[in-house]
Amino acid sequence: MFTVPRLLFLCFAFIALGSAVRMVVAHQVFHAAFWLILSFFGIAALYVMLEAPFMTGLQLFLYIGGVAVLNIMAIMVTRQMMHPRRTANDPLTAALMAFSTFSFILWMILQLPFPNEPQVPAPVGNLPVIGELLVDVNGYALPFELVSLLLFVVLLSVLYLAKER
Amino acid sequence: MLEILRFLSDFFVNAGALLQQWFHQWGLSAAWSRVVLDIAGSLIIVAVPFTAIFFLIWVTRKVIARIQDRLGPNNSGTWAGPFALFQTVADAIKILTKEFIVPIGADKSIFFIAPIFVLLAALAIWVVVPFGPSGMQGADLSIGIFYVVSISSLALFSIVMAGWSSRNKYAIIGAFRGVSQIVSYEIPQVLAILPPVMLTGSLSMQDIVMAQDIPYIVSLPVPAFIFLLAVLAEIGRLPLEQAEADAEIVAGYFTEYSGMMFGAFYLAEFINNFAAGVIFATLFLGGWRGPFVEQIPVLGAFWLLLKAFLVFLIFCFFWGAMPRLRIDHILSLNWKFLVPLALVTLPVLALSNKLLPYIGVTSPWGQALCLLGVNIAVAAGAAWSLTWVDDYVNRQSEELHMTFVMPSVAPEFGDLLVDGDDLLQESS
Repeated sequence: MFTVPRLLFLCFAFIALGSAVRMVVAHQVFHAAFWLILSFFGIAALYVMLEAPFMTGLQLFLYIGGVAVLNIMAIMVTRQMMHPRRTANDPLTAALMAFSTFSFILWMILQLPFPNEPQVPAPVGNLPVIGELLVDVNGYALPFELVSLLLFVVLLSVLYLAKER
Repeated sequence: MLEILRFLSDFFVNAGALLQQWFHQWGLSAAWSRVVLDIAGSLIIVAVPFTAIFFLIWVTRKVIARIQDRLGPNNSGTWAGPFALFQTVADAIKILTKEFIVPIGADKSIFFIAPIFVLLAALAIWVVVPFGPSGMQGADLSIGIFYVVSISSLALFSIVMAGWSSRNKYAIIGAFRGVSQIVSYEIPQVLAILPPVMLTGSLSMQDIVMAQDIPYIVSLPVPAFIFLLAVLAEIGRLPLEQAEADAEIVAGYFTEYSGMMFGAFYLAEFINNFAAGVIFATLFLGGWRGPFVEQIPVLGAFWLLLKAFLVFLIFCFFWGAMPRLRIDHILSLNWKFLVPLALVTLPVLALSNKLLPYIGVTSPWGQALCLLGVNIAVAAGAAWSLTWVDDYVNRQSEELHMTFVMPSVAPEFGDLLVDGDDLLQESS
């Protein structure tokens, strides 16, 4: 029942979920940002347990090194961050919005069929497999290029917005 | 006698095997002996940077003192040893006895976590550093160098945590500068890591070392140069030291720390400097490879640390001899020079490396020399375009002078090299 991997899984899942809850109920936005980082760490640890080192690296690099850094920079340039107590202007609408977003995402996740077996059997060194699939015409070449295009457009529009006029 | 020498020649691997044998005789199960050996191994890995920096802090102080025409730590006190070699120990003991001061209004929990976090981030890199041919590495992760890049962004969080929680204007200014500097220099850093990874065909640190029959500094000098500058900004050393510019904002993000909490930042800074040297040595200088490593694998660690020490000495010379750049100059050096250069270098190198077999170059030395030529061409192109931009800006400003007086249009690369206000150096 309680094997070591299972205990570790429970531990990391608890870290991920617990810090996510703490993030939501934190009084200070800055603390919330750090609880979010801890939650990301918990998920990275879960990827380690799944023996997916590349996903772990991506989780660390993109979510902690990218998303969380952006969060913190946004918080740092916001005024009056040191005031702990804050209430929403319209708590009822806020709750409705949060609930509807949550249920929509939950509905979307439940729509996906969960495969019992991996769609592409991964050999031990799975990094070249990911790379080849990403640029393979029969693989994910089109979505990959579309995402690059999207990011390029985002970059250009940010440059346009940030231009001094 | 010969047996002992053979044992010592691959000490860490043999000692591990011997210990495992002993554990087996004592009736420990295989899994538990693995756990004990792993803990011992990680303690050794952590011990390497900690012992190294006690020496390196002394070296830094001596080198900077010589550059500034001083003697540096020199027989201060009665027991500091020859050439004050143990000055660092005395400093450590002094710092341990000091009081922790927490500013009023500081965010206490984050204030206390930050020094722990900065040390964790500094030590985590050492897991993937290959010290020798086989067995002398914490873990040969298949994402090796990618792990290093991801971990180095954690250093940024310790800066933010320390700077924000201190409730101090200097600290928050330092944190702002540190964040903007590190975030922007991450781009050329990653772009400069890609060429060696491309030539190796693997992200694993051990594979990168094994592929360097000829060190990559020969075939990839331009990416090595970009990486050196980017990593210099990442660890915040002069001339790119704005997060803790101690002539302007006291000590930057760790202004409010005292006692051993300050010590943690100080140690982490030196560990990061040395780790930067180690990573540079692994990527571009051939890592643990050197004469006689095949016969005596333990020598690998020596060669790696020696190379890392030489890179560290370069950082020291910079520290002693360079003025501090202004933050906008630092950022424009990155966005207007390093990023475009790295973006041009990467596809040019990739294409020429693919084309080499078609023009009949197959030997490793031929390949390395051809890539060196390509690098020199790219560097010459960069230098030419810089002078062109400089001329262009000068002509523009002359035209502006005719209509109304305006000193200069924008800081350009030529202006970066000398900055009158910042010529005054710290004297630590």
